[in-house]
Order: sequence, then structure tokens, then C-alpha cells
Amino acid sequence: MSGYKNLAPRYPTSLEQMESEFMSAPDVPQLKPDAADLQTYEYDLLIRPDNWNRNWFSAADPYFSWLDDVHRQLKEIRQEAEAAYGLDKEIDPIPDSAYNDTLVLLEMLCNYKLPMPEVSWAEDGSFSIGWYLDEGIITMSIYGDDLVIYNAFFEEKRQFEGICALSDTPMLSGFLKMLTNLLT
Amino acid sequence: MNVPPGEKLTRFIRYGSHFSTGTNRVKPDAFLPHKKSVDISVFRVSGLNGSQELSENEIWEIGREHVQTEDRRIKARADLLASSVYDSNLEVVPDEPPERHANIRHLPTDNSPANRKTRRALATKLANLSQLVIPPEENRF
Repeated sequence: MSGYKNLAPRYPTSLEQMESEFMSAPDVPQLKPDAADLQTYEYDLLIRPDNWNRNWFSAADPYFSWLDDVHRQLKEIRQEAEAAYGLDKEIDPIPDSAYNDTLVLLEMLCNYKLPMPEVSWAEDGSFSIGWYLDEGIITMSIYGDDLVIYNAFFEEKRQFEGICALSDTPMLSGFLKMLTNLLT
Repeated sequence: MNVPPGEKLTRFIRYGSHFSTGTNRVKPDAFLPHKKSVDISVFRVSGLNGSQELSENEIWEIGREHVQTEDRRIKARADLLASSVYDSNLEVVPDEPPERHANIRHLPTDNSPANRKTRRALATKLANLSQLVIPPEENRF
């Protein structure tokens, strides 16, 4: 076992960075450094959503339905953004890669027991996936350069923000676990 | 001279996806101008120089006259206090004409990921402190 440990990848520094960026997040489950062994059973338990083994194609599955609805929403939003760009070339066009990255992120979100998000676009050339609550706002934004900017603002002392690569699964998993705690 | 912190500001919203009717919230996207812009355009809607507070109709009229175009109608507006802007370490500076126009200034300018993150954080804060106002039937443009 100890030999296996020596072969394990280093615990990602980006996750440590995310933890350091917390100002005062609410009850947030912190990933343990032991989670470094990404392929271990323990790590799977830590990050695996409860519905991991669900039937992806069940029509009665609320998360499956949610994904369909949000895909539709994203297509409409993309049209709205393209129409706006057609009228005003000062607006930054949203690259196709941002659309594709948003689809990837939505698929990822779908694995967690999160309520249905809303998607939107901004004139700075980005798509956002967000939850708009009475108490605050949580968003994940995509510009098509493989980065995700995440942001939550509840009140002055409860806000956090960060940035990570879309492919940085450990860091994104940490943030999504936190989202699950905040939103469910 | 900066806009006093007690004044009410409004940002007109022209895109349906920049606010959530389900939760009645303004989205941060409403406060994210395109990258060539370093300012967020707003209008001062408090009574100025001892004049009376603007009526709802007068506020929508400002939007109709100065923000709306034939192709891009106003869908809603985000009302916020200037103090919320100052609390975010930004400034509100009058920028007339048109009358009552002002700019929220000092967003980070270049488009590095770190600056994008900061712009997003500021926009999220402003959106969270804003109140969404939807035009009543008679002011739907």
C-alpha cells in the first residue's frame, strides 16, 4: 500500500488554492489531502454523486430532464447572443468553444443533485450557468478558453470566487460538492 | 465630482437572459459590458438638485429615449444605490450628455483570466445588490 502511495500523483495545488480563496463560505466539505489518489475507492466515495449509478436514459429521471431543458435554453441564449452581435459589433462574439465547454460543464453538473440552473450570456463574450436565490447568486462562467470562473455572492462576509481549468476535475469536483451543499 | 452615495441609479436591461423572472433577480451579465468598454453605463434617477423624485414613467422614458433602439427594446432595469457601487471599490461619475447619465468606473480593463474573474465578482456583487424592475404593461416597449 505504501508503495502505491509513492506512485500517487501530488494533491493538486489548484485545489489548495481554491481552499485558500474561501473568505467565509458556509458549511463546506473540504476534500482531504488523502484524496490525492484519484483512482482510489476512497476518492470515488468522496466525489461520486449519489446518483452515479442512475439510469441515464430514464424518462422519469429529473436530472436527465433538466439537462434537456437547459440544452434548449442554451440554444436560445446562443441565438440571442448572435442576434445582439449582428446588431452591435462592439459586443464580443461568443466563440464556438465557449458553447462546447458549456455543454461539457452542464454534463458534469448533471451528475450532482443540483437544482436546474439558468444559462445566460454576456457582452464580454461569455456564457454563464447560474442559480439565482433570494439570498444570493452563484455562477460558473465560460469564455471558451478551457477556464471556468466560478463565483458566489451571498452577503459581504459570505462570498467566494475562483478560476480553474475545465479539465481540472479534482478542483471542479470540490466546487460542485460545495454547490450541492449550498443548493440542496 | 462623484455621484453622492445616497442616490439611486438604474441600469437598463435589453436582453431577456440578463434577468430571471422566476426569482426576480438581476443576473451579473447585466453588469458586464463588452471588453472594449471600461465603464458600466447607468442613469441617475433620484431627484437632483432639490428637484422631485422621478416617477416610474419618467424613468422608463429615459430608457426609451437614450438606450432603446428599434431592434433592441428595453426588457427590464436594475435599480441600485450608488453606495453599493462605492462599497465595491468602484466609482460613479456623471457623464452628460445625455442628462442624468453616469458611468460606473474602474472595472479592471485588460482581458486576463484574473481580471475576468474580478469583473465577474464585481458584476455578481452589483447584481446581488440590485432590484429588478419589469416595465408595467403601459411601459412595455
